[in-house]
Amino acid sequence: MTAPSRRSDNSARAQTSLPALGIALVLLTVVTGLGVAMADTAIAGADRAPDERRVAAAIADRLVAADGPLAARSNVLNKSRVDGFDRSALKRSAPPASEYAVSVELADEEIASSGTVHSGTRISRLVVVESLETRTLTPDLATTAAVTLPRRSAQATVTIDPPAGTTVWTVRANDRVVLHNRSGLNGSYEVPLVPYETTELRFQRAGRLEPGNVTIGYDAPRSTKETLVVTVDA
Amino acid sequence: MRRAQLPLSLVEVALGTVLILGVALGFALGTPAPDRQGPQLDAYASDTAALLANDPPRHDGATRLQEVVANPEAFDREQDALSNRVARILPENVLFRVETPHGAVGTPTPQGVSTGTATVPTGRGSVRIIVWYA
Amino acid sequence: MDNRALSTVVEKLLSMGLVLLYIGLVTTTLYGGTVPAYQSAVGAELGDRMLAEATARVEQAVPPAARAVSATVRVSLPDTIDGVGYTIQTDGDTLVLDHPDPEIGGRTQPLLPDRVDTLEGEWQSGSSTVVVVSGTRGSVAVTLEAER
Repeated sequence: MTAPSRRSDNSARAQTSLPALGIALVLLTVVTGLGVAMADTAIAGADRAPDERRVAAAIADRLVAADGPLAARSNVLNKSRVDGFDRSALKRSAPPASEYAVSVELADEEIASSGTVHSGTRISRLVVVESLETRTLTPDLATTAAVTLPRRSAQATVTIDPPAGTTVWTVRANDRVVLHNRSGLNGSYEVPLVPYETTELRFQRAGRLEPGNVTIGYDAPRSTKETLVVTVDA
Repeated sequence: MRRAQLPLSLVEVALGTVLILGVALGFALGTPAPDRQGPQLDAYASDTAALLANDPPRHDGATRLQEVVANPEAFDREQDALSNRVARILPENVLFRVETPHGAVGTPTPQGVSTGTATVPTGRGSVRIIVWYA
Repeated sequence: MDNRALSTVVEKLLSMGLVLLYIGLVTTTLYGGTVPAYQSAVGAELGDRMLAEATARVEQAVPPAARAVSATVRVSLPDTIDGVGYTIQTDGDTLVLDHPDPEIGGRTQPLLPDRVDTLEGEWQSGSSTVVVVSGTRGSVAVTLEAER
């Protein structure tokens, strides 16, 4: 005859499940400790400098903006300003560069930095670097009275040196009068133009003009596409 | 007869341990990483818009963008050149889609991918540039 | 004594008592020390991030240069950090997060163009807050206000 299982023979077995409970509670404590340790690691490993991203984005915005230290127009950087940009200029235009290590690179070449950057946040901006060049055009105005500039330009320098007996009264740019003198134009004049349209300069004169009497200088910028990278390490 | 017993509380605790550790590990490993690409993609999109607004047109108009939105014929004529130009502006691992009032240029936007957008208002409707990482 | 009929009851009672004691002990330890420390750490982290984001919004609110500029941008701030309200104040050209908990706080300096010459105002958490930019080509003022 089988004896009933639990409460049988050995009365020393009355509370045998208590040690098991004790072991169970110990195990539970261990698990809780593990959980707390994981939370601790997560907190300690959390991103400690959210400002780093903000500073990187803000500096990149400043350098690329039309009223910034490097750019002539929005996203168009002026080459001479880029060449003259250094650490003090960086700190002047971006005061947080004094606290964090900031590195500015253009076309994979560092143009300014305020400290060594090991890791950190990078922001890349697409820009065009423009180097200003002026080209001169010497039109032959013996037969025609107008000359079209081959490139759109924001301004032109018109130099008029008329021979004796010739008077140039008026210069028009696309039907807009830009130079006018009743007694004749003679000399070098800066003429503002509209860069959004092709300009035709028309000369109103009396008398003959040889080639070489009129020279026109205009802006012919050369632009190359580059990437501006700002790295900030807090 | 002596029969060993399995103390049930140990089994329960083992199950409880597994449950707690599972939940904790789920939090530790399972939450998706926050999206860090948004601001960079937005920067790419607005840079593309600024560079396109800076480009001289190929035939007529004030800027390249204005030329493209002028009328449907101009759009048909210019859309390939526009697509090539935007592909040259953006880095290689970035795909784009340019939506104009007369049609769209570029690859269709996939769902569930973080994108950056820039909208350029022109005189005849707005042009929307959407970029994302390939 | 041969009260074997009671041994299970006693055993269960002892087990329950032990478990309750254990739970009470663990709860006291956690809520007394660990949990407030974590809440404070998380609050500090949240405060840092929120301040960085608010600064970024202030920077982005400034419109391009023009003869007359005016912009109002709504900035949403969390109502409380660590259960307590806070304020964001301006100090010269920096934004300061002011929170009763000494561990939570911070200062940031927004990167504004040179034409911005005034940064003033204050934000109280819990109200809908805006940043108001107004000015001319050479002089722009940025103000932190509550939305009216």
